[in-house]
Amino acid sequence: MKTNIQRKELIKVIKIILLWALALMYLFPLIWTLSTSLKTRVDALSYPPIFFFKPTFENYKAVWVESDFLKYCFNSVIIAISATFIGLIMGTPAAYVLSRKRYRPKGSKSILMAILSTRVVPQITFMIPFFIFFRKLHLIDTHISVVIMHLTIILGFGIWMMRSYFLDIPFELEESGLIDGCSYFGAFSRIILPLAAPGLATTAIFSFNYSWNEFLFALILTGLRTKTVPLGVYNWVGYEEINWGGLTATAILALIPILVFYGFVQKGLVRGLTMGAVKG
Amino acid sequence: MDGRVHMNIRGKRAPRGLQEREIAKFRWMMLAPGLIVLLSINLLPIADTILTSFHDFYLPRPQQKHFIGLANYMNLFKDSRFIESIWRTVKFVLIVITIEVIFGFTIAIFLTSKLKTMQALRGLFLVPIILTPIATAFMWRIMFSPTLGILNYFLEVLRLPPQTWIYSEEQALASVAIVLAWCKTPFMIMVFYTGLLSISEDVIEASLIDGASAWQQLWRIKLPLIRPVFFVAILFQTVDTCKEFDLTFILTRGGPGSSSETLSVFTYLHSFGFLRMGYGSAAAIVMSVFITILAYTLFRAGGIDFEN
Amino acid sequence: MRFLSITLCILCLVFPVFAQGGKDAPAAAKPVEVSADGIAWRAYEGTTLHLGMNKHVYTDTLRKVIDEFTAKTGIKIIIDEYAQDEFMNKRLVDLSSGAGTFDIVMMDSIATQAAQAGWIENLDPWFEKRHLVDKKAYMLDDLSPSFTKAFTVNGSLYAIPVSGEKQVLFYRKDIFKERGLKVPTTFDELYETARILKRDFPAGILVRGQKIHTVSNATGVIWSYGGKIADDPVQYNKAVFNSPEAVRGADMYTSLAREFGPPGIANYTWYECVSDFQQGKAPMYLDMSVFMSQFEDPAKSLVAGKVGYAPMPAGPAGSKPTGGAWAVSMSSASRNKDAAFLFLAWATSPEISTKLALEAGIAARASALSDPKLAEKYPADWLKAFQAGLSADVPELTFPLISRNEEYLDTIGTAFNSMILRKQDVKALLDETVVKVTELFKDK
Repeated sequence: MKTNIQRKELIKVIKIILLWALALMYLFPLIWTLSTSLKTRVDALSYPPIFFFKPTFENYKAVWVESDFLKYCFNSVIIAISATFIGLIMGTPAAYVLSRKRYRPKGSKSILMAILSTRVVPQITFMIPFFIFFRKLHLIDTHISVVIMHLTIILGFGIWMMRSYFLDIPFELEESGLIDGCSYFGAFSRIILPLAAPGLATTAIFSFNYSWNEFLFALILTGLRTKTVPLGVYNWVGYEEINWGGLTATAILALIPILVFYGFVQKGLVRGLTMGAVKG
Repeated sequence: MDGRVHMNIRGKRAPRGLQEREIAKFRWMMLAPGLIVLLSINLLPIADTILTSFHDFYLPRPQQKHFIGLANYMNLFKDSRFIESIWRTVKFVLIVITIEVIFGFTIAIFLTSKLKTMQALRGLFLVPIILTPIATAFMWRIMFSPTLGILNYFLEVLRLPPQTWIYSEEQALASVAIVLAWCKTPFMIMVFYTGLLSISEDVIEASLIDGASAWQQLWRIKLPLIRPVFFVAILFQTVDTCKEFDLTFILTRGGPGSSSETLSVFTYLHSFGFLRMGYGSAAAIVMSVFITILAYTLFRAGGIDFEN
Repeated sequence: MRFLSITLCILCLVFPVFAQGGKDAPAAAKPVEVSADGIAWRAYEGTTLHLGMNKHVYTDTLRKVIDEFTAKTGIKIIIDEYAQDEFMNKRLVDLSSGAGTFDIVMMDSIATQAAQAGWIENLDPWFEKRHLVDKKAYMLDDLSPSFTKAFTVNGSLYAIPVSGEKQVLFYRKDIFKERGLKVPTTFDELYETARILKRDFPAGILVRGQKIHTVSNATGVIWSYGGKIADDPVQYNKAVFNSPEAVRGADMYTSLAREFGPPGIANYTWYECVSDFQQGKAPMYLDMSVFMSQFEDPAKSLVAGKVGYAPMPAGPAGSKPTGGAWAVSMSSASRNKDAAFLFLAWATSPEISTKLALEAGIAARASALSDPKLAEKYPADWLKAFQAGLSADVPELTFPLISRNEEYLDTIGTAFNSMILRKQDVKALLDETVVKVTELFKDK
């Protein structure tokens, strides 16, 4: 008996070590980015690489002072939250209906395929027609145009993802609600939606992430007023040089809002999970 | 329809016709906003692209644009550079998805174990996909440098031969694939993780009572249960990997030579580099069809059904 | 389902209404009031001009004088700056759609394409407008002809060069001194020196190896061996870079890269070359003079103060370095053309050009370049190398004045790149490539 417990402990320790090794390997590029942002520019590229150094905050200062980082952040946040929110509001009900045999329209298979097909076309083909379109509507350099373009991806993604999460939830649950006198929408919003919280969280996070990091549409459709964070990162790439300090510092700073968002959504996820546990 | 008795909101047994209409109303109210917005913004540019692909259109000379039918498509298939880029894209997708699935699943399993350290690391594992792709691309580019890069430094320390990564013909495509996989694995981790979490405790307990070992539990019970979400995730990742452009372009620009020129780089070069809009549009359409075929194959393989 | 289809149809009909490109009507001209020097400085007060600029030293330097212009004219200037690849895309979308987001655009080797397509204004008639510019005081001839030629299409000037560069040789003074090496003045000497240095360094010499990046530098070497890209520097009837001289030149460039370059040189852009040189990984680098500022700044470079600058080595036909320039042009879709030209003429005038040259060492005017104050600020040998480059007698323009220049870069660049990747029959490869490039020349 004693050796069995010892063996279990050993396995546990090995597991932990393995995992930390894996984590370290996987996260190394990230750690390296962080360390580069704390180095002086001449040190950033040195070989053999410098691992131990005195950190400097001059890059972060440069980002703050020289580039309009707060403005970029603000723009990106507005666009990403709007796109995610609108995407979820419009997409989740559609996903729900498409996942329930009872509510599904006859052409649901073709609808799903049509949605998927919007995703297979490379986005660059949309660049010029949409630029002209938004320009005529005087929507260049506004947040709305970028939000609409992001929706082209987020809606499709949201509908498919949420549908598969809904498929996992058995219809019996709504059924009992309906028999108890719930409206169709009530059954959806009060019974099913909380159970799908993990799915909602995942979809929200990745939709936000897509919008936050999206580059091409942001480049074409924004102007000075609405420049977003990825464009801000690219700003450090010049004609004769790449300012590593500024680039990595901006990239690290850009992580903060999205991690905050993730934190919020996490809370919802945990809540949803505990509710799910109660329901069994 | 299943032959169950349905009640309407007043709790009374409603006539079939009325109920059907109520369901229809509900159905369209839920579907319409999303569908209309999605399809209207997407279908029109796609139609525009298809139309352009039938023309010979050099952007600086729009007045010389003229209809040439299927000539662009025929020239595409005679263009060895195009055919090669299709094969490269297939190879690329295979490498990326394989790495993502293996890593994603492994890490997700570890994350679901009750170890406290895992919970702390959870947020951290998401970061690669959160990091701005532009920054990721440039960072990896310098990490890959044969003279100044840290990857070769580690190899040197471990007494392994230095590699040329994105600067060599043989390794360029695989190197880009590694970076993309590194970047997108968090998505797989999340999908697997939330999928595994949502498997209810009862199922697991039941299997334990039946005497299943942890391994059997994993393969026979957990995996099949998360199959729908898993396949949707792979589907989207495949589609996105085929379309991936920014990373490849910044890392290698398709080079050296054309060894890392995927379909998306080819299309971009012809549309926005050479400004041959007709040819580029045709390439984009063929690319879309190719991706659709790939997606459909995945459907079949994954047994994604449209019924419950 | 039917409701859905109907809505979609309506939306389909609406979209094309918006999806047409096209130019808006230009603003009507106002009656002008001129000041003592004959120029209507304040006539456009209240206008705002948008500049679409590349992230370049020129843009940074220009920002410093913007306020002076605004004070003088009451015209507000907004600079929208993008990194190079982004800038190309944004500029392309703006110009080709006739959107007119930018009044003034930075222009480079796509000038011919843009001019032919009518995207940028022909500036010749603008120089005749006395209320916007004093042509005599402006001294058009002062603009270095080696740069203006690249922006002259069908005899008319379409963009004004502002920042020029020429191919020079960068080398490590300290390493050369240590080993008693002589600065190479011919390509054969360069080859030998590179071979010696490769024994001790990851690279004996750095040159750009990536497909489209090889073209400008390789062209210089081809010229120096007596070869040419095109038969006629104006007509571009056919490609002739498979002549024996050109073959030798191409062979020299690609051999230098293949044999003495760093591992992975086949995908090296200026960025990798500059980083390697800054970190002391190679003692020689053949590329454009503009990188001098990257090497002399101790905040970025380990070799600051140790770099020597020499004119490009000579081949059998002499030293014929290529060069390049960025220019500023006016968008045809601009709604404030008068004000835009006023700014253009002012910003590229002799006085302002000299100011900018002193600030950052970049200029395209002979008068600015020969200003004695410049010599105090920048390494003397760099100035000499640059001047030598400017005064060299070159057979043609660095990039052919054809519309399909991206495709040209890709086609010929593929050939050079492939030679760098592996040793092969240079003549045979160039023969093939010449056929393809001649096709591109024909499409004028």
